Amino acid sequence: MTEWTPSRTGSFWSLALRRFMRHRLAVVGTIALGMLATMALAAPLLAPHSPTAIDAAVFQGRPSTTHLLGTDSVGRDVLSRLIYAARVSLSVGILAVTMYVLIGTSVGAIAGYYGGAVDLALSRLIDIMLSFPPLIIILFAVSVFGRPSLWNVIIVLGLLGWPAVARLVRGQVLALRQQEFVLAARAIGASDRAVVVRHLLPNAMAPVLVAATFGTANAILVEAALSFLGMGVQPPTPSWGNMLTDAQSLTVLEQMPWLWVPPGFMILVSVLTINFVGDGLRDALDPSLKL
Amino acid sequence: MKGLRARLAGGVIAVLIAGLLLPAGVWGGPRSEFVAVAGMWSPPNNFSPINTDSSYGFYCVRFMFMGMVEARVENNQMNFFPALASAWQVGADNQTYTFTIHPRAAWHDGRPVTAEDVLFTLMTISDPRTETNRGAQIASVAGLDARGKRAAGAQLGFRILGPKRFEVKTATPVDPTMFLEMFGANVYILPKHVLGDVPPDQLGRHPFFHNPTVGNGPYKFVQYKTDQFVEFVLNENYHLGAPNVRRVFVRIIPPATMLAQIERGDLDISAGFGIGEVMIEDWDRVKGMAHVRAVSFPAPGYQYMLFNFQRPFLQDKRVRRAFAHAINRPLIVGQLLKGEGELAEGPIPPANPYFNKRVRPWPFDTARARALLTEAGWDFNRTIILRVPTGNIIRERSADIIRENLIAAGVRVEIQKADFPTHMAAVRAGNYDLGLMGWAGPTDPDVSSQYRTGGQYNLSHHSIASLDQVLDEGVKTADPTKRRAVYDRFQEVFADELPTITLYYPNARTAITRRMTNVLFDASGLFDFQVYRWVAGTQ
Repeated sequence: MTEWTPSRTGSFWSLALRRFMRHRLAVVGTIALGMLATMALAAPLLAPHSPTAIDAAVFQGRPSTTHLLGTDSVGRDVLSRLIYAARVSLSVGILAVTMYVLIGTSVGAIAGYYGGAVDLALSRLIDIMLSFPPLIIILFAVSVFGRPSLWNVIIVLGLLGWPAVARLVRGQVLALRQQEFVLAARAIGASDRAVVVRHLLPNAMAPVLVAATFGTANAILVEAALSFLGMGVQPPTPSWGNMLTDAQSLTVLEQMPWLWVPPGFMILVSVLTINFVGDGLRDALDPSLKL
Repeated sequence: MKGLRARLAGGVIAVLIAGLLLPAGVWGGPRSEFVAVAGMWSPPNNFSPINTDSSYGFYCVRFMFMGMVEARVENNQMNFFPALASAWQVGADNQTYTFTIHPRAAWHDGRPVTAEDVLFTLMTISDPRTETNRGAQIASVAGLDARGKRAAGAQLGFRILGPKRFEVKTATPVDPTMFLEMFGANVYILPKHVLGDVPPDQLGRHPFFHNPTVGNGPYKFVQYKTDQFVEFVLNENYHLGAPNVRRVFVRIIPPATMLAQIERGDLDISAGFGIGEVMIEDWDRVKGMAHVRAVSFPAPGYQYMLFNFQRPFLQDKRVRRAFAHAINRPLIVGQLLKGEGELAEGPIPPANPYFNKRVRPWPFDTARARALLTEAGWDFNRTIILRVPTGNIIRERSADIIRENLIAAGVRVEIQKADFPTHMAAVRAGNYDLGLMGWAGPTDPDVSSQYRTGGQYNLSHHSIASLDQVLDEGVKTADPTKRRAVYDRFQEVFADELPTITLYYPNARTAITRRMTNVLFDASGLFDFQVYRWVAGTQ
């Protein structure tokens, strides 16, 4: 029988939701993530200043009543930049992962469903893609794509992240395609497309969702690293990663914590909360865990 | 038995610890008077006296190679000191220059430095097949074109008067100060007995320029550990006297760690202007260190903004002046440079003897900028690209300020950053609207290579007749007083035409530990002067 069988305790998804709600950190993570998303969406309402406006009076100014988190190396309000930067991090995370989940799922499903030579070719492609050192390839791709920008980071991450998802989906599809419900669907003459899209993929989605969640956290980290290296989001657009580039001198590190603690903290918080959510999802969706 | 084993183990550990500490001992802890350590940001790409591709390479080259004289600005005028030449005369015609090479001036392998070596160096630089950045330095010599290259059959203005004496003739009378600085101080002599047989077009790839074993300067090359350090040892037979410091290491140290290295005493000298400075945020801290001398002085280099003259909308000088009004240059100097810099409207530094004090920078005035743009018919919906090279953090930050300032004046600007080679290629190809760039030059005010039509470094691709005319006049005027008047006028024309906007003249800042004495910096050069006179005390 499949996981879709209704039971006394409710559907698979309502069961999963109940399991998820029991995972305290995951709930906290979800709430925090919701707050981050709200902050990103409502940035113009929340930010006290424009993220690019320069206050000629104070460069690297301490936190004050005008600038709650001080000003950066060119006199811009750190708090406002921090708030606006959430947009960059979340959009990189969500868009890049959406992109590679779509690619990865398609490739994995095709490989797993058709098997044989198709599978062999696609699997080797996946192996090759996975053997590249990711950051180096990303640095290379961003520079080849022309100028570094938010969109380039998203596209590059999206084009390079799919093999892990593809492998996951392929494994799921391989395991599922011999099951009775798939054979039944075939027997009544469903097309390949219908079998894959309507019967196989919904059942393979749970681990992909988990992988996507962790992938989002990873994409945020990679964006921060790229922007710190100057290959990611370009100033004056704020990103937590490029805000950290201010902290490259000993004096700043020791005496001007407002320049680097806030963006560092935001990266930590966003990645941590997303990972908590991922943990919760994994536990909730793992069919082998019975309550 | 047990005691023996313990002692053996102890011995092994001691050897291991010693092994770990020994390499560190070169830099760390108290050093003897025999060693000095300088630090710069990036590695040198070669040690070619005629074609270093960066100031990093040049910083190393001048430990090993010399020109005829050394130049230094003192009391607002250029003075010359013996280097390879012990004496020199300027002919009454301001065209004939006679040099006598020091009788004991010799190559590191013991062979004497002769007039033949000087001729070989000139022939090499002026050969059309040679890749060199010294062409402009010799361009005034008779028989050479503006790039310092000789045409087939041209007669070089050079005569050997004896083994150690020679005469150089310029095509036209020139200001002797210019000639002595350009040819005398900035052309380093190559060893003919080592490189004489190398075809000029293969010189660029010759191993000598990566392992220059035969120089004529106060230090001999020992080794270059890629991306780590360059090591020099003293030349005991140096004709001006053996140096005091036995060994000099030039280490490659990223900007962010410079301060810590100086604080710990692992570094004696930060190499200086544009190649090895502590970060501006750290400067106050350096000034507070008891064991360090923080030296800051006006330098001959500046940062500027290029206009691409191939864009019709940047050809109206009212537009360019509007940009000069729009950019808050006092803010950049006051806040970004923390006051460690100066403003001027033009390529002649305020510390230069030829600086025209009457030319003031256009004041920061957003309303005036807007008015000028409107008057010139600027399209306020047009978005233009400001290209910014990465690497110089202050310059990168200034781009953010420039963009905000221009937006305030109604100009839409987008920043595009790229590493320096990519940036330079785009600028050379004319693939930009506005571009940031840095420049450092000699004291002589001739800036034809940057600002004359078709000049090698005319990156704005501009052609302004009034500028060309005054630049040509400056090169041809031999009388120093008249020449000064010509360059006063040049600076007025420049401020009116604004082929580029001079953003700021950052001070050169260098940190020297107090155990080092006789390390002389000044506004005339990028680097310190007479390295053979360095003295290193114990710590």
